[in-house]
Amino acid sequence: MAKAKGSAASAEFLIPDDCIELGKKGSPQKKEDSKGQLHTLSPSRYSDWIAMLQDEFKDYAQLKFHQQIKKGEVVHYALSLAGNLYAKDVGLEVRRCLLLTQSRFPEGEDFSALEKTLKALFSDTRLQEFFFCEGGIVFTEKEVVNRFGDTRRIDRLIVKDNEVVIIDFKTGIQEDEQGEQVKEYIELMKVLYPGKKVRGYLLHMDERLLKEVR
Amino acid sequence: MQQVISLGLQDDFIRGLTDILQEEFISRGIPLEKVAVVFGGRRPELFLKRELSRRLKGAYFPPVFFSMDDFVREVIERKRPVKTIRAMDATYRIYELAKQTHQGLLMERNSFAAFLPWAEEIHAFIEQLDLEKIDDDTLRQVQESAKIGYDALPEVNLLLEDMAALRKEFHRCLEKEGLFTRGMLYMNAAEYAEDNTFNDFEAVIFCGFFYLHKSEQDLVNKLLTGGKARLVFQGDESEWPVLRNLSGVFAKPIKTADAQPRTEPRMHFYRGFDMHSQVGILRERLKELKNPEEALILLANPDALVPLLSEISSLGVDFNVSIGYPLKRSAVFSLFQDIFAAQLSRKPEGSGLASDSQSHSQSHRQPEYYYAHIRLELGDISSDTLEKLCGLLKKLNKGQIRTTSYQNIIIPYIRQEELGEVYYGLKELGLVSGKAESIEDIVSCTGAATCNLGICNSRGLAAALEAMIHKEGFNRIKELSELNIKISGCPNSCGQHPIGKISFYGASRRFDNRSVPFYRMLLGGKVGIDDAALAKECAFIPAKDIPNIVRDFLKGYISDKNSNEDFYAYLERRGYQEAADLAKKYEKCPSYAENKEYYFDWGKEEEFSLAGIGPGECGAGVLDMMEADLADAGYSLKAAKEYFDSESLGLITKELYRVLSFSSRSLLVAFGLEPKNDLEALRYFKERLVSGGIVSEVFNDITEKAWELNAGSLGKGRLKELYDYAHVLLGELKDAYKNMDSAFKFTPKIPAPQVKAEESASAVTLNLRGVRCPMNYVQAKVYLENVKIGHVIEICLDEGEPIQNVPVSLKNDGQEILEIKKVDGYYKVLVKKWVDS
Repeated sequence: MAKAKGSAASAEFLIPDDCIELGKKGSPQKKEDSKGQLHTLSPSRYSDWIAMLQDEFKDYAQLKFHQQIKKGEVVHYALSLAGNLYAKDVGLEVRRCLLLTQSRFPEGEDFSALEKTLKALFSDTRLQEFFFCEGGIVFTEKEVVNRFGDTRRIDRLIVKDNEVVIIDFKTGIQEDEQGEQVKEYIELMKVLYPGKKVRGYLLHMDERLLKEVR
Repeated sequence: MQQVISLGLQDDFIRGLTDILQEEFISRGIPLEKVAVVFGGRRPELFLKRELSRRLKGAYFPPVFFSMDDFVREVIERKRPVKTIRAMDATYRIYELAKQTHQGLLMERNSFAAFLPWAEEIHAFIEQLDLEKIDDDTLRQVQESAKIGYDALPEVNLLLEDMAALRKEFHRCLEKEGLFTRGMLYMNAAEYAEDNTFNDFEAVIFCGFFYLHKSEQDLVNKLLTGGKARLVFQGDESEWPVLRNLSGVFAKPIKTADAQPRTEPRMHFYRGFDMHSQVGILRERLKELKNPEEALILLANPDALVPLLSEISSLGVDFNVSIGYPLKRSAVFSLFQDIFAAQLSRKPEGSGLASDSQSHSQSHRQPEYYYAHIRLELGDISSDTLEKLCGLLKKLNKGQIRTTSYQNIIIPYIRQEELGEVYYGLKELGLVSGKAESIEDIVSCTGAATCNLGICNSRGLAAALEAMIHKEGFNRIKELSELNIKISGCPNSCGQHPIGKISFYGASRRFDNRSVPFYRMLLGGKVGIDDAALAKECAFIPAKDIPNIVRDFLKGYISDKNSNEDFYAYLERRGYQEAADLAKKYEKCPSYAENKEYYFDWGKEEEFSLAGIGPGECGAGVLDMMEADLADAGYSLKAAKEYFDSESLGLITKELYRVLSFSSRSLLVAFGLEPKNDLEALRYFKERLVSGGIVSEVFNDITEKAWELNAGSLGKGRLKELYDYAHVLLGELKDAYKNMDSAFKFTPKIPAPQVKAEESASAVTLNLRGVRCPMNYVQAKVYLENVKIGHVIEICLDEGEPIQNVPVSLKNDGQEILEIKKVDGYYKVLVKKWVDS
């Protein structure tokens, strides 16, 4: 306890006058010098690593239109369930797609609108070759990995004897009007299917607008 | 490909797996897209894809990747659509089930918000049972053990008892809606995989698993039997019991190809003077590594991440940042932290063993000692238990027991290593129940049970209050644990009522010509070094309604209390008013015909009576009668004032008349007078109080004033004058009451009472037959004032309360009872006066 200034410590009176302090004050043992070796660090050269994270964050448009994006996800998922419809009962397939989509997205999307979209897509004569592929193999949500190890996912890939068709579904707010993604897919498919002709399309689902990417 | 392969612990798993894929599929011309790869999560596929790109040096179609969750879903979705329930919805279903059929689990947490944390625990528990496919038989064994009573929270024991039924109902309820939880998906996956050939895949490779839940084991086993599954582990079963177990489950050896000699890692320690120099050193070391991308940097402190990234970004290497929970946030760390905290915070409750430093005991300060604080219900311990307790203490070589002001006992000087033995020893003796010095640890005097001063049976009330507290779950509410309840059976303070936060002392009132046990309720008492206060009286209500008023008051306290105020602040802001409001609700006593219960004290089989009770009762009974009349006069005066605002002249008139009526009779009991009607009361008032100079002479016209009010049709101005008159009258009477001495004397000049005195052969006779308690005592006391010391009088008393009460009261006043003789249904008592009371 700190002693008040000017006051006497009462404990001192307990020590007889003839009792004197023997020896001398101890001092703490000195620590041996560390055997470690000192390193001199070279100056740092910082680079902007934040830029490297740009792909990690969603851009503003993705945040702003999250509802439309959600709707787009639902449509994409429903279409991923529709494989090759050739020689199949379209009505039954539509119902299957809806049922499975409802299970996956139980939060209550507008499934009647989805049904309309699916029916309209499947009955559009311009799009018949993409959904009803006699003699072709249809892949949906097909993953492909580029030489850097990055994954790309093609919405619909149709592989025929002598050609490959890529369809990228677009919903209202998605950008990439020039089809840069599709161009990359085309390049990838050319590598994977050498000798086959590769065509790529952007299909805007809302307006059922089809645009070939060259 | 072998069905089970295990890589060495020092192997790079991703590269090893890529080797396998290359050897088994790519080199044989099997497209990778025909292979399913299942990892525990999603992240490893990114590394595998990158490694495959390096090997293949170009684009490729990758294997189909699944996390285990995805794969389980895929297995079931191949047979039927899968709709999963969200965790919050699942907890709500559990809440509903608990409400409907397992109410014990609610433990008074009736709202969903209150029950949610517990519902989440139950949900997690069910999920775990499902993942491990714990069947009902196994659960039943756990339940049987639960009945023995683990030393666990009551909720946990309840849950264990109910688990099988609750789980079944939960599953049934979800199945009805076609919903799955994650646990249900896992539990059913093997069954759905039964005849699933997975022909679209050449192989399904389960990679990098270590521990597998029972449901996962079954699923993988099913695929192994079907010939589709391949398993890639890391580690050897000879080293890892978990892998040895899996090896048994799958009937396949899990062994690494070649037991390579393990090279122990070399350890170097570097020391930097701050975080920045530390990451600078790390950067220099990374430069020296041949494959820095194979380096794993583990940061103990997440704050170091940004400086680290800034340092190593200049090296041009790719890095993958994985932010997990710091060690301090891990479940195991938290568990230990909670256990330690719980141990340290165990206050001296019945079961509690706490260090002195935490419970503020000053008897011994050595930090290495603890003491056991044993809560004794109502302060009782049987001789048998006490003997056994002494035996326990002898065995432990402890020689001391202390008693506390809470009627509990403390065993001091317990060393930490002895705590367990003491605890279990006390538990065996049944001395571990409830929390000492909390709201459930009620202090009570013996009351009318054994004390001849006690009016009410305070022990009975204490038991009733404790039962109510447990029923309402108040003992589990943190805000209430700091409160205390103290009860005295009479105005004497043996039950410590003046210093209780909530306290009571016993009294009686007459209703329906019978005595009714009543209590005065007090609030806000405290004892502290610089902060002491006597509890304030705030209600006077029948004993039977005490648990009700306490219940209502505590509920109000819980809901109205501000987070930053203590009990005393709450009382000032709201509590006293709340108690006054509740008092109005409970102050009325029903007639004997309406509800006899009110005429029986707590814990008593016979009707409440003041028979045999000493002067504590007689005095208190007189005071109660005076106070009740003064209080009633006060209520009417207040009501009259309020009616002035609404100008309800008729009601003002009525209330003012009541003020005069109650006021005039209020103090007459001190003279042994019991007026039969208002007129008599007014007459006695003038004779005794006005003429006796106890109140001002101005009140000599009280009869005329009362007459005027009784006639009615008075104007507002006149009523205002009469209001002032009544106001002053009541004030004077209250002052007189306040200054009354213990002999019920207001002024020195007290005229002798008008009692019938008969000459007898031996003594003057005071006939008090037909006079009820406590008036008979008062009349005897007043009469004795005019008797000379040494003289003997004879008092005639009825059977029952009078003969049991009055002689004892007089004896306690200091007079001598010479003889009690029964004569023709009444008693003659010879009293010799020894003192002026």
